[in-house]
Amino acid sequence: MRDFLMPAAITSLSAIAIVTGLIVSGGPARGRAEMRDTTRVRQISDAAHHIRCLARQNENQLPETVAPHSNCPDRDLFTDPFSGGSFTYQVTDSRNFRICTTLELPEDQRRNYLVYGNNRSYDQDSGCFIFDYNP
Amino acid sequence: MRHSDQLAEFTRDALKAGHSRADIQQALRDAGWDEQEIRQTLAAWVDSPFSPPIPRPRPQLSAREAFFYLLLFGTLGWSAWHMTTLLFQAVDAIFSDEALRAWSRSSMRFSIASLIVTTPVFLWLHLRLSRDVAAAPGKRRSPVRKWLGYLAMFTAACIILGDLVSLIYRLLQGALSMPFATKSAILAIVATAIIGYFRNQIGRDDDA
Repeated sequence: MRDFLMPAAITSLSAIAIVTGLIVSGGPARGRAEMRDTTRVRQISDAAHHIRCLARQNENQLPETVAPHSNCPDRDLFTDPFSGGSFTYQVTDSRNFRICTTLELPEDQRRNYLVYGNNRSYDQDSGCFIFDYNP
Repeated sequence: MRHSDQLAEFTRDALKAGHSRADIQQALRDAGWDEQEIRQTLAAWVDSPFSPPIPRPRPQLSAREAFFYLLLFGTLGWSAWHMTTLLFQAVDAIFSDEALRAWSRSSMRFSIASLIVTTPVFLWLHLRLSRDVAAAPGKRRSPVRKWLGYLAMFTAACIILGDLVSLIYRLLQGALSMPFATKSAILAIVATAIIGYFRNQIGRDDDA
């Protein structure tokens, strides 16, 4: 009994830590959702590069729609790789555009998961990533 | 010849010559030997009328034993580290208004994975080594068991001391917050559990 008391205490502490950790960090389902959102955000970043490429081919004007161009290889960047839905592209003015999608993580937790580049920001209310274009 | 060898040789010769243990003890005491040294040197020989005196089995360091004890200490150390890290991050998450950063969640998952693997292995090794010791009580005298045990207790004691110092320092600075106090308590509990575990193990070895 005496021999088992302290190892049992250490094992119990470990179990408490595991359960607390799982509650706080989320389980595998949450981890998969994070991975999917991270992939979406990475793809949106690639889509923004594609838009800038199209703008350079269009006399430095942002294109109104996304159309294939021989100098900007189209890799179907506007289709969600998991849900199959589409990312939305909108031109807001001559130097700014946005790409919108539906993310899975709860709204208040998205910001801490999305790595922002120098000219990219996220509008939580609309679910859109805002980019600028400086020729 | 080493100091302890001289003592061991004298004790063996004296027992062989038929002197009683009490006489040998008194002679050594008169010569200025320490009580613990006298007790240890006499304990190395079986108290029996048989002559020549019979030596008790001496602790030996076996590679197999070292492997199991190092693994036990390694898994316990790893578990303790990740237990503490995980609970610290949970405290940060609970006491903070901001959502956890991505790296924090990732680090927590690594700690969870570590605990899921190392804690059962530690428990299994403990049970296995306890069974070995119960079957052959001479294994209690294993030097690797003692040295690693005392080293672990020393480390845990230093952690408790450091923990107390930083707690009091924060208090004096007027910067003691609930998250900090909670983390200090977690550290103290984990370190105390480790000391308790090894005191239970090694303490009984010393009695043996």
